[in-house]
Amino acid sequence: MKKAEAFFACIMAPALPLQALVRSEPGLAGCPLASVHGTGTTARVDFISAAARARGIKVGMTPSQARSLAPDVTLRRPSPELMRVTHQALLDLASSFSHAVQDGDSGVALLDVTGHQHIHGSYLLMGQAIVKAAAENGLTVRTGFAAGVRLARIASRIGDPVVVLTPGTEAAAIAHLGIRVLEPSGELAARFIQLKLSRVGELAALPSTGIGSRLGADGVTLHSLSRGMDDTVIEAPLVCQNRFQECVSLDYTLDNLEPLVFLLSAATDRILRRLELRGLCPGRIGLTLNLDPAGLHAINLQPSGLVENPSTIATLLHRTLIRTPPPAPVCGFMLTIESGTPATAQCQLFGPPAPNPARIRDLTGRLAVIVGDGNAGSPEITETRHQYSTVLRPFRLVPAAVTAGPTRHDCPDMPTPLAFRRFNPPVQALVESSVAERRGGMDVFADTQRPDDQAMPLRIHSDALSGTVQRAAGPWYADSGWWTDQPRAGAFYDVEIAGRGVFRLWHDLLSDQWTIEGIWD
Amino acid sequence: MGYGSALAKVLSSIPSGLVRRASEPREQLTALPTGLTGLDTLLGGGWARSRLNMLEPGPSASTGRTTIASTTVAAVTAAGMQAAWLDGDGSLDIGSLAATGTVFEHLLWVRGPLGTDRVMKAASQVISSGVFELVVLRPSGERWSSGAAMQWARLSREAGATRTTVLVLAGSPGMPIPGSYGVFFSPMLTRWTGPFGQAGFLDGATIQVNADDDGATSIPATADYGGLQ
Repeated sequence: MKKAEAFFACIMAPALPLQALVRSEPGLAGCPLASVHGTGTTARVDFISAAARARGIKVGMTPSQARSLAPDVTLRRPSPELMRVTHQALLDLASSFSHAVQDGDSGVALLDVTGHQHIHGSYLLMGQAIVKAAAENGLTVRTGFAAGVRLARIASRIGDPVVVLTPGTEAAAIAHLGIRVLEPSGELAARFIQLKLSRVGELAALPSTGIGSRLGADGVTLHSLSRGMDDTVIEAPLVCQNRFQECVSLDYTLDNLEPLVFLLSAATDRILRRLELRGLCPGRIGLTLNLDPAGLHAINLQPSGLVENPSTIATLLHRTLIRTPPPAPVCGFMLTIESGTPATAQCQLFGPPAPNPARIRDLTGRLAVIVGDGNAGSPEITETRHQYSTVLRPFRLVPAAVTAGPTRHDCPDMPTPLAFRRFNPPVQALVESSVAERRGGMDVFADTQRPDDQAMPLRIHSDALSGTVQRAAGPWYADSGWWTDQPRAGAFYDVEIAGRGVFRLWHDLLSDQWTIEGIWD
Repeated sequence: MGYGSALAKVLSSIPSGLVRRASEPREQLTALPTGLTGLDTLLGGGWARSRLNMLEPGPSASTGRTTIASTTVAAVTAAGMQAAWLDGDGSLDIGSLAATGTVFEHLLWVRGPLGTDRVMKAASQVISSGVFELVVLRPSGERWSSGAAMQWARLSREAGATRTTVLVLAGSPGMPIPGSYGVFFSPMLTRWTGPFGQAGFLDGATIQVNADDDGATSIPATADYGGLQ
């Protein structure tokens, strides 16, 4: 079997600072925009948009010069965090196309794509897929494919969105490029100028003999590269991360939450697209707000369901911010979403049809917005002592075979348990008991031998329910929490009120208060 | 010209979509077993799928509606299907539900108490998701707003679209809901054991169900005191 020829790709995002700014603030797209590098007197324009170029602004100008030429130009200095997260987005994009990705410098990702032409049809189609996926994630990229990493890097600088250097054609394809695409060291670049070498083809045309003595070892390497010979490979593949971040830095402040939520929704959308590229779903969510003039305000969120809708996450964040508002105006934020475990389930061939886990995740996210996070899920009984203590687990698809076991439905002779329904909250009531009757001189239970402390309810008065007790049972004493600050001691009674139903009463012996706990239904 | 060809000629002159049959061919409704043989017989196989099954209360609050709904939830979840309980008034007793044999892994519980609008919105999301075979909806005890009729009609439409069986445990919504199916409950007949007072206890009850003119059935149920007794 023939071994596949090693092949590599380079994804390059040109003018990354400008792309980072537009990606975080889409409103800047199309505006005359320039990024500034350096501070004070050393500040210079380093990247300009097409609209800024049309107004005469050039790279290397000072901000003052740029403003004098075009007063409407937007001059921004992208923060290091913004540059980092944008570059990370590029690496995530690369990781979705290859198992071995190496971090180039800023705005460059290198991929081992050996054999991937069979997946996409050809390297050209793969490059087009990368460009399309990048555009969907707010990035404009160029891709280059070649048999070596350095050649692929050069190919990405030729200018077309996708360039494939097939073996044997590399030298001719790069001959017209400026010699700086070979990325010579400063000393070697000066030597090239002395030798009047300005094009790659001119270096390639030099005879091999004597290159080492004149240009050194690096010169020999670049000479081979100019002739299309490159044996460099991916040396340090990246380890995929599970934290995804997006940040926004504003040159103005936000005083209310609505515009902040709008920006959060857009940032969430960008992260979810990155997660989707990697086949992951969101988990824990963290938000750090940069306050003006200084300070941070952090919130964390662990949705009960794995929500995948950007507006859902933004709404959850909005509600959290309403509960814990930032103490000062906001001038930026860093949104972090950790990847969660995608819900998967192996369904049964002969079992009942199972719903799509993604629909369940989407539903739980929507429910979290409607009814509040933590109010929808699968119940789980954690304690059974007089009152059931329940917790809600995230609702997820569980294959039928895991839970299917002998149930009461396998035994049709088993009686149907009568359900109890709790009043929420319990209803306060005034209860006339048998003890009270005795105090009043009427002893309706004279024939029953009962101590005085076992008072039986005779009549109930409350806003929701009033009537004479037709039948009663109890008391059943309950004493719990005596070791805590909130001890509970009292007795339950079941009482039937004619025409109204069968209710459960609770007589709190500590406060001598009666409540209607619920109804048998 | 025959009737059929004349009708076809008239219809062909009218843009499509403007005319439809006054009465669509009746869909053969399938039934979701209730988990109780007697009730299945009364209802013709079980609860009507794709419909809102209105479990109408009687004059007493103790009618056994929650018991019947819990039993169906247990039957559905034990069969490996998904069920949802929207607990608008926060009255669901999980212990009672556990006693019926409900498989909680297959149950989505939307915990109350919640306002009427939120319950109805949540119900709309749950039903329209198509994930659940059975949805039990107990709205909150608040008064119905003026837009309630439209909300119920929408739920009915969504239940039909997703073939979801919906059991509604509400007081009477005060309006006819298109496409709903009413099941009426009489006050349950309680069984007490022992003398009045301490020596006695609620042994159980007989639930009485009526389905329009199809007859009635009685379902015995026993009280489960759990840790109380």
